[in-house]
Amino acid sequence: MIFALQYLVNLNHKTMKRLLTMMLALLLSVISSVSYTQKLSFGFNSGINISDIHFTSNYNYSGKWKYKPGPLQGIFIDYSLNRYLGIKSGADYSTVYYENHTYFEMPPYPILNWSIYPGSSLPLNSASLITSWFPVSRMMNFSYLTIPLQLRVTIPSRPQLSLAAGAYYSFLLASDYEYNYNKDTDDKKNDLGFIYSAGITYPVSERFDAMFNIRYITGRREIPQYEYFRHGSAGFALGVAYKIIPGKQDDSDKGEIPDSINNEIYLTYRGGVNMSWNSCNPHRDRYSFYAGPSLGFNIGFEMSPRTYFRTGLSFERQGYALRDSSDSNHRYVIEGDADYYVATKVSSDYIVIPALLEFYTGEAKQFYLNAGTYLGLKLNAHCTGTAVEDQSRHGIYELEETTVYENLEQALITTDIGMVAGAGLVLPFPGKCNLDIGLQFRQGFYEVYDTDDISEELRPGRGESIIRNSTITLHAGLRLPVYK
Amino acid sequence: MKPQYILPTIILFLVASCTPDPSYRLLEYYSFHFTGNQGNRLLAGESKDIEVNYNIITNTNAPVDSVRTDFEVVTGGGTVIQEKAYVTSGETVNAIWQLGSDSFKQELKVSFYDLGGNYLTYLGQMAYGFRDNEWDGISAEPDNRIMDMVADTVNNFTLMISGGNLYRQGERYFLWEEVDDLIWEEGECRTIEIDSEGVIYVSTWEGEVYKSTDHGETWSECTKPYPDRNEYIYNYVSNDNDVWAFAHGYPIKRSKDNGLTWTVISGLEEAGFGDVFRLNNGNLLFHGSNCCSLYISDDDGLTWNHIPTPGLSVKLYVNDNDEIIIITQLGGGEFYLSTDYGETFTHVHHVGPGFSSSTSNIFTRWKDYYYVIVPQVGIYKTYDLVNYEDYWTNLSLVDLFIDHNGVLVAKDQDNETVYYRHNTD
Repeated sequence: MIFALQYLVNLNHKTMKRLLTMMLALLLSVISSVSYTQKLSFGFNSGINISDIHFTSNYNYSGKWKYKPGPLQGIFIDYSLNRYLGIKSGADYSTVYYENHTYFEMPPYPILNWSIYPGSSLPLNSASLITSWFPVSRMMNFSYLTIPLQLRVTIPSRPQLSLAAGAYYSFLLASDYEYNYNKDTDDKKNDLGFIYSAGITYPVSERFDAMFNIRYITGRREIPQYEYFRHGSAGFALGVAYKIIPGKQDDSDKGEIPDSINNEIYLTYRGGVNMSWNSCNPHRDRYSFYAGPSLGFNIGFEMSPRTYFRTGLSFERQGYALRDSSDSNHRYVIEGDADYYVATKVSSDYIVIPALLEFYTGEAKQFYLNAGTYLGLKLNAHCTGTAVEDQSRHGIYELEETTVYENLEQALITTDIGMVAGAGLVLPFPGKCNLDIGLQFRQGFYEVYDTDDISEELRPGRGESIIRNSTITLHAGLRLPVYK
Repeated sequence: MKPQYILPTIILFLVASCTPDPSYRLLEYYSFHFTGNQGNRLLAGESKDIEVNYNIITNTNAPVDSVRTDFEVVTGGGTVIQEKAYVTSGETVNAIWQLGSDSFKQELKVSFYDLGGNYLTYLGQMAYGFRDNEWDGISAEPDNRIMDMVADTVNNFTLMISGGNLYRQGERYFLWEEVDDLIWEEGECRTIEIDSEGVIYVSTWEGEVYKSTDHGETWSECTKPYPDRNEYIYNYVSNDNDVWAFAHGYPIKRSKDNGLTWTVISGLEEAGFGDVFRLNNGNLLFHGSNCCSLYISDDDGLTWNHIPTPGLSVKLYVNDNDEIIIITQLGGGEFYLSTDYGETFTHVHHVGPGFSSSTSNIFTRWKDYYYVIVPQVGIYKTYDLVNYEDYWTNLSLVDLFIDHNGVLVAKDQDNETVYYRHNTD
């Protein structure tokens, strides 16, 4: 949490600072009002990690780093300071596999099949004579022993939701590089960085809990041999926790006792679909919609009988589509004759934290309107699709199609801040749950494209932007009871 | 959310996130090319057959459409008649291009469009249209590296040394055919001379001299003027058919028997390489490449007497009437004429800023006129060696030749361009 705070405080947006301060104060005030409980547990988890390499510069827009799975096993220890706060640590073993596919070819020029098979008697217009390209991939993998240290916040519900943030330190156990001719320079044996996780816990007995945990790590050190990259991965693990010191019986374990439900807080796990677009200026009409998933949870705190403060955390994939002539694969820009006809989609993955005021109407508070701001933390960004280029030179005309995969992580700035407005309704659902269906509009306040690499005369002017995020989300979720 | 839904959700999300790897794919490849070479040499107004081949490769088995071809004369003012407008893959399209006379270098462009009218690419064809009474400069082998030339107006042939090789003029004055099957190494030719009997002498970079008595058909080796020298020599044939040889650090030698034997010439040690003329009175007149080295001999070259010149003389020419022209370089190029065997000189012409070379073919005669090149100034025309008219000012010229039909051939100082002028008057 400290690292997360530090990360956020470093932002240059005063609005964001105020927003975060308000959110944290609110969370802590709620948490500190509950009774104190101690508990020590340990356990193990096992699962997979999905590599998600990070870029330190715009060195290479092109090429695809695959999301490759690798093993993740570990043990952990969790110490609860009180019912809501705790400290997590442990040790886990993981192997992260990175695989890159580039546009670079070997050999670096097209070879017609008939030149490979000179005896071929196929006619010249045969499809079998089309140029063959040989893509080059490069792979590397790293095995680490990782020691995390995180501050945990728990929302008492069933299943119980925990959020944690902290730092990690990793010891490199083994590594392997394909096409590495300079292994002696491998002097960065360790890595350190930030780790964020979210998990749900379900009690299966008095001392055992079943767990599902999602974590995201982002390294701070450059990868040896490839100094333009930093480690990154997302982990998904199932685990079991054993309570050494169970402490006082969890209220959440009481399950069916109505009086224990905290009606001043709601917790919604939700999923949905984003329809996003680029509301830039000018050239807004050049872009079209992009559909992506939305997945996360919301927490609502009652401020008055019909007013809630709503926040949460969600993974949002958003972006836009470009189907036009352009000199760039990922944005509309033309100088003279366009280089390509592109049909691409730019997608950006964000962790979005909203801060909303929510107003309810209806006798059972089934309708709501909300509005506020959000902070988006960019995880990565890509451009995929096709680009067709025609080349004309003396006596030759070529039509080439490029399957595009550009990493835009460094092309977009790290954060996006904007406004949110939404509406929805809450319907009864079997059990103690409610169904939350809503529609949300989200738009960034400012440009998210990093214009530093654009020459000054081509940068957007005042009031103009290259990429500005806009999204409409249709979401549905389950509101689970939160216990006192 | 029930735990059993979590893993399928994650898998579904990952599958949905899959995207193809980056790659290139060639969709269509159109290839057009001319049959035959670029840069053909033709006469202005002459016609040339054009043939364009067309092939297309696609990545599908769909039928390949025709391509529309548009021929267009870009420069030269000629015309083009094309056989047909559309051509399919594997076929050829023909046209007839009649060169114009607006310019020497003429260009034809063929543009290609798909059936939707979209421009695909183009081909450019270039040809040279040699014109009458114009200087046409060409920067192409073999003649752009011309070093020497001889013309036989009796037997109607011209030989050229260019780039160290020997060429014979072809059917047209701008066409050259390399003479092969020579008895010396390729690229060794350096100078070529011809006497009034049609005997041709070629000197080489190895210091050898070869001769041909059958108009260049066969060659035989002469006695080497300097047997111990394996480097280039200067070779010269005077108007009395004597063969002269010059080399740095060696005495001047002369052969009176067509290169069979060589005799050392004494008394000209300080003169440098030079021009030698037999006067009508039997005396020999010599001027070397060094300044003021005008000498006369009345005993067939056994002894030589120095003749003072009015300036810093560097070049000598004697016409059929024993009128002597010397060119001096002092404050410019000064032309002096002597009609009394060098007793007195009369200033007849001035060129500026100066005269910089004495080894070029300065005086070239065709019929009643002399064409006089002043290196890095231009060419003058004179009838009487007294009155000179500007013929062509071109500061890049360094040498001038003439073929057996009177076509003037001038070369530039960079060995890049050779200029032809075919006079019809």
